[in-house]
Amino acid sequence: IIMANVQGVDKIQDSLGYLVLTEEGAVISSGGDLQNAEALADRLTKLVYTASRIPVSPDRRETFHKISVIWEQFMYVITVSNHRIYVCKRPYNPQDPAVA
Amino acid sequence: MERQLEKHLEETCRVPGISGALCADNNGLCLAARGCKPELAGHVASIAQQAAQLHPNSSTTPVICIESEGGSVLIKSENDVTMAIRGNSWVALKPLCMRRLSAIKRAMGYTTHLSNSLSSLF
Repeated sequence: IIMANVQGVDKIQDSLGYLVLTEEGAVISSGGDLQNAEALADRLTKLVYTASRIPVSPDRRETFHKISVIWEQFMYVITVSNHRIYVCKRPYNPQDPAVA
Repeated sequence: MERQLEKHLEETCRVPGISGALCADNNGLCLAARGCKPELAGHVASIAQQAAQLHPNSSTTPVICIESEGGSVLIKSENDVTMAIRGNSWVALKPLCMRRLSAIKRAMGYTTHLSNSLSSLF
C-alpha cells in the first residue's frame, strides 16, 4: 500500500530524496535526503498553495502541472496528482548556466 | 527610478515568447507590472519568501519555475526585489530573468552591500 502511494517517485533516476504528501501536507512517504522532513513538507505545502493562485497562462482554468525550485546545485520538483503532492529532490546540472 | 524600471520591463516584454513581467518588493508592493495584474505582486513576493525559507541558510535565493501546458512563470528575488516573468519556455526564460533582475537592481540603485526596502519609503 505504501509503495502504491509513492507512485514511482522513489525510483526517479538521480533522485536525492522524495516526499509524498496529502493535500494538507501530512507526510505519507519519504526517503533519501527528505526522509522524515516534516518541517520542509509543511513549507512545501504552503508554497504549492501559493503557486496555485498565480495564473500561469491566459486560460484562467488552467493550473500548473509542475513547480521547480532551483538552487545552484540541486532542485525540488513538485507536482500534484490525485490529491497527493509529490516532491523529488534532484541535482541541478544546467547545460547552459545562467549568469546574472 | 520608476521610469527606468518601466523601461526595463518594457524591454523584457518585447522579447519573443514573453507575455508579462512584474516587480515587487519584499512586502508584496507592486513596483511595476507589464502584461500582468499588479495584484499578483503579493503572491509573487510570498512565493519567493516561502521558497527561500526551504533552505534559510543558503547563500543564494532559489529560482521558482511554475509550469503549465500554456506557459511558465519564473520568479526570482534578490536584495528585496522580486521579479516574475511569464512566457512560453522556462529554459529560455531563466537566463533572461537573471539578466533582467540584475539590470533592475542597478536601475534601482541596489549594490551588493546596500539593501533597503522601498516600502519603508511609503
